[in-house]
Amino acid sequence: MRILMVTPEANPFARSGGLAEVTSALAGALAQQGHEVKIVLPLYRQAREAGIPLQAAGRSLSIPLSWKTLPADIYRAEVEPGLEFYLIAQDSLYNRDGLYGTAYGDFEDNAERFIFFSRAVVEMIEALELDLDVCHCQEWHSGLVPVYCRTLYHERPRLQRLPVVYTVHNVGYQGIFSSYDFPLTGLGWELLSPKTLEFYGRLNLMKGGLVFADLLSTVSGKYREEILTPEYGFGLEGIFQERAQELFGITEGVDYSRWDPSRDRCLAAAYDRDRLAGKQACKAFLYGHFGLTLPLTAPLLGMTTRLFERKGIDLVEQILDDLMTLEVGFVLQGTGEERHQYLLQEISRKHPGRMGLTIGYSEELARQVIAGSDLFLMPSRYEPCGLDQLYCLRYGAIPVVRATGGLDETIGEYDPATGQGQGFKFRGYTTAEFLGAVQRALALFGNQTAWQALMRRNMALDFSWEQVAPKYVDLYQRAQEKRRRLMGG
Amino acid sequence: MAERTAFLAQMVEINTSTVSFGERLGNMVHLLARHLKVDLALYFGLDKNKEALSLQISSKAPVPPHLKLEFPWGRGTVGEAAQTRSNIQVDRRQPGVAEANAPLEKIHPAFHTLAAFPVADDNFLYGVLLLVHKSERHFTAAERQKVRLSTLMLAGTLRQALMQEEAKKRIAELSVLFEVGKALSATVELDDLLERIVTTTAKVINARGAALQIIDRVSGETRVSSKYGKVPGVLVCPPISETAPEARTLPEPPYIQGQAPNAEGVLHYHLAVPLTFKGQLSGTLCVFDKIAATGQFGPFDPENRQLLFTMAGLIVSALDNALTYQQVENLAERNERMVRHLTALQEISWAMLSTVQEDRLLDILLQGIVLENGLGFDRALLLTVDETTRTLQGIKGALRPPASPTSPILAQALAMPLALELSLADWQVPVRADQGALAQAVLQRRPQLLRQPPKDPGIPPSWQAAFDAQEFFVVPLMVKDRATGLIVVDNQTSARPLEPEPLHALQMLATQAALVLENAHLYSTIDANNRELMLIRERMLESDRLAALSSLASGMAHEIRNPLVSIGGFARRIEKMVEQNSPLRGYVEVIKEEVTRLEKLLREILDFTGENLSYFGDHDLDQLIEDTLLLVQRDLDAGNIKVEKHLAVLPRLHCDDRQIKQVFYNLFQNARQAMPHGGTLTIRTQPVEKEDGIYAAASVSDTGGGIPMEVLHNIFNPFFSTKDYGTGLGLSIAQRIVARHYGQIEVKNELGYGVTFVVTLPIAKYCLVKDAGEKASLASAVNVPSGGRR
Repeated sequence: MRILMVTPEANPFARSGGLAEVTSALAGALAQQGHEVKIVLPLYRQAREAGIPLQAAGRSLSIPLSWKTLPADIYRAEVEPGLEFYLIAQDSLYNRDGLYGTAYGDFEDNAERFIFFSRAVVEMIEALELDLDVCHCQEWHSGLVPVYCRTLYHERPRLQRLPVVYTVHNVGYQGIFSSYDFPLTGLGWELLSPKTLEFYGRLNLMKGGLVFADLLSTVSGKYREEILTPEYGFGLEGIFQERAQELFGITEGVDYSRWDPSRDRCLAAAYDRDRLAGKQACKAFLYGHFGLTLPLTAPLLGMTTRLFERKGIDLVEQILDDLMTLEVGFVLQGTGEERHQYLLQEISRKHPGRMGLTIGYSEELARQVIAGSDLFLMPSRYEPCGLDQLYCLRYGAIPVVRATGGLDETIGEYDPATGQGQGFKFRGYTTAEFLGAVQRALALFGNQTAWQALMRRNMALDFSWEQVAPKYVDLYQRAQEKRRRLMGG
Repeated sequence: MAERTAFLAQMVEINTSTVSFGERLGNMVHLLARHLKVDLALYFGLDKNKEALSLQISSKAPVPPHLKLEFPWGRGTVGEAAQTRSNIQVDRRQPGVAEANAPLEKIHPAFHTLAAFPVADDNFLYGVLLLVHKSERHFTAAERQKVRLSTLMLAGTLRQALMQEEAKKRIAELSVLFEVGKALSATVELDDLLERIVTTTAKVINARGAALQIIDRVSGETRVSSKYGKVPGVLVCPPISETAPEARTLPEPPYIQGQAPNAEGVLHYHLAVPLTFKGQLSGTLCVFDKIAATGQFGPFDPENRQLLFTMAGLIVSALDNALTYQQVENLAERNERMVRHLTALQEISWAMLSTVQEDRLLDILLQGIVLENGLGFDRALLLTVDETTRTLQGIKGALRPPASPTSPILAQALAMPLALELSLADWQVPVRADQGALAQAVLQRRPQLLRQPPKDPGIPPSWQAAFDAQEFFVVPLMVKDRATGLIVVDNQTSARPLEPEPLHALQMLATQAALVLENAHLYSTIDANNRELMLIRERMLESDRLAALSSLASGMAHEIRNPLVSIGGFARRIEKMVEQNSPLRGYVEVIKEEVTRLEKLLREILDFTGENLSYFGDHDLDQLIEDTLLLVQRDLDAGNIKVEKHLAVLPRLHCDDRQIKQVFYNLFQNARQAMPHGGTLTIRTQPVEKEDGIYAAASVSDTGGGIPMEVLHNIFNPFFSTKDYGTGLGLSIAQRIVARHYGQIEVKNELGYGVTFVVTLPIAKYCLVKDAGEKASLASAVNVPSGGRR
């Protein structure tokens, strides 16, 4: 199949979170299975500085944006056979630090930046005469791609017959802007209606994707169920319900070529399920890094997260003082809202030698935390899929998760009687339930035989993208069939 | 100092960052609170009307949309700072402070120190920054200086934000106006145009709903209206007259703006501006409930008004054009429909002129009414008025045949039989005022359009269910101030409304149809009368012929009878004189026998000539036959003839019993003579119903081998006989008698077996006998009872 993936970020060019990882890993897996995959994303400063040689595609497109018209230059890079990157360049929009904003928040002109991107992608397909079997759009940033294909560019046969699959990675971020930004889209005002792009008087770019794409998907079966409800749907549950027949949940995978403790170069020592000694070395490394003074036999709880309430950081803050009364260590790497940073800094000052805190994010430290921890905490309010818990399984850190979305789907509650299950779960978003789950985990930690058996079993599990990619191919084919049907044969 | 520089550097960094204004302001407020180490820093923004300051930013966390924390201008520390445009610091211990700032307890229940700083540049006050602390807090001069710089930066960011918002809004407005302009020049389709206008108006003003209404100033009728989104209740788009009390004069054109609570007490806002047309049209363009950023409804501001005016000015001429175009189009469409209907009417007229047969006419008429390319009604029914019984009698109905792609042209389709015929034979409505709409239409002799007919007594129960159309139309068929029938049409099947044009055409058709049907009826009456006259003439001619014959015969008979008496008398005298065994005796015998025979002949001739008087009375045919049979019984027995009788009970006949007995006597004698070697005489009576009444039939059959074909046509002729005895008058006399009774005598000849004579006699008192059944249906279509009347 010839697949075009439209994404706001992808490894190795631009990364802010899991999306970059997921997009490239899926594309890579598809390419390895013989598909011809192209990824298109904006040429951010980060992408320019990624050190990968870019080739000008020789086309400069003129993209109208309300009263002005900006040029979009297209660059190409072939990263591996069968996987080609297209980068849309427009320095006034993308040549900045940060993909979507700075430490102070989101860029003021994000509507303009991604409306431009979406339209440029559509124009590019037409201008470069890309022969595609499916176009796979990610997140709100590319929500207008299906809208353009089905409205403004409907007359172009190439775009008219192109099936579009739209994947929602997180309904919490919908790309909502003032209705005054609507002229940037160049669409007719009739599309700013509650049936299409309007969302309580404002412009919602994700909604465009949900309404106009041929098929929809999200990143786990459980999350698919959840977003049909008002609690997780963020106001879009109505549309999800309406299109429930065409909404699929496909759980994400892990790129084990990058996430495997036996060949992870960031770790103090390599290890695998047969050689667990290395994990102890990693733990020791973390002790050193964070200046912990506990004995190595004490359980170490780890977290790498963003400091947002949706990640459950408020729950963590509330139980930390209680937790620290136990003979346990706690390390956390993360960045996010300032008030959480300050609060956590305050708490960590109270527990020197037992609690380690790094404000900021580096993938290297994230790997080290996952490798060195015995338990890994993910008390998210909601979690569409979550990748860290999957990494934890392979790295032998036992996950303690809230039963939501992908966490609920991928982690089964450990049953001491049968030895079934991969970790510990709690359901209600309360400190009591969270603490209860942590204590159950700590209790098992006391039984090292059982603990190591669980670790080994988890480390053998396979969540690789090779398993996931065919499900997407199936989805693409369904989208093709639907489009063919709509085109009348 | 370094700390101060670091703080200011970060402030500037935030102020110049490219993140959204909301984030910039939030970050600045947060930074300030953290730097000064106060519990809370809050920013209260001044609303557009400069009446209140509401909480917009908190250093702690985003302000939830439902939290409404507000200080009126001049009230509370915040309002005071805004009013005086100067810094104010108070604490809870001061009198009145706790009360005046009570709303703050919603977010900081234990506040003690409050320090308010106006956020303003050298021109404009944007709001107030409030620092809240839970304990006594003194601000140094340096700190005050920092806050002042911060408020200046806040003001700068706010000004930028407002300007950008303004610019975006203008661009959005321009884009809308551009789109409307494009639409206006691209379409003259009124509906399309109206929809675009209201939709884009609502969008650009961010209103929950919009409505447009154009009214005819003279008639006060709404010409067109269009709505988008949520428009409260009935269309409250009041006409704006220049003299309305709400209307402002200069410098703005008049408008209406206001608010009204709905049933639940929620305030709804509206803004309406006039659309000024040339001529007698006027209209309004209204918007309802502006959606604020918080999702709540708010009033419209002067900029909205200005935009609405611009829209109104832009659309009015396009609307004018579209209205005119629509009018012209409507007119053309109406003309086209009219021409179509008139053409159809003409076709139907032509078709109706092609026949005078009432049955055909009815079919053509019904076809014309229900065919798609005729008048196109779903259903048509035809009823006629029976004048003698004063009832409406259902005749025939038709349903519209399903449309087929190969429907023939109207002229051909009219000539075809009805595709879906309805029988209305059970439909009888007395023509009385209390008998419902149909009877009323006949009595009032006026067409009626009936909406949702209640249980109409004029509709038979079996039809009630089939008659649930929303409306149906009744047209009387008028001939010279007299309703001869009704046409009823409806569109029940398709539930389309009955349009005035086809109804008009139907009335024209009804006028013509009434005349054509009446003509056909008259024609058939004349035809029947003609035939009756012919019959009478024939009968008179025959009776003339017979009269001449009989007067000749009776004259001769009288002339012959006198000498015959002498001959007979003298012959008897001679007989007495001639001896018993004289050879003359034989001659005398012959003379005597021949005289007797002549006398019998004479008697029969006199019978034939009808000189004998008729005595009519009511008699039982069976009894007459029995009586006659007695007379011939002995002869039959002698001839070895068996008699079989199958007599039915019949009404009494009005007849001359002697003559009828004569008829049967003659027939019996004939039968006996036809069976010289014996056989069976079968007598059968039965009632026979013919078109014009009930008859009694008597058949007399023999087994004598039948009448040879070559003589069959002569058997009723006088003086024809195949026998060497008899007068040859038997059947002839029988036929005359039967004819005189308006009956018939028929012969059914079965060669090799026998012959059957069938005598049919009318039971009715007076009945047109000959041929009357043949074309009777013509008349019966309009006037069913026939036998008795004609």
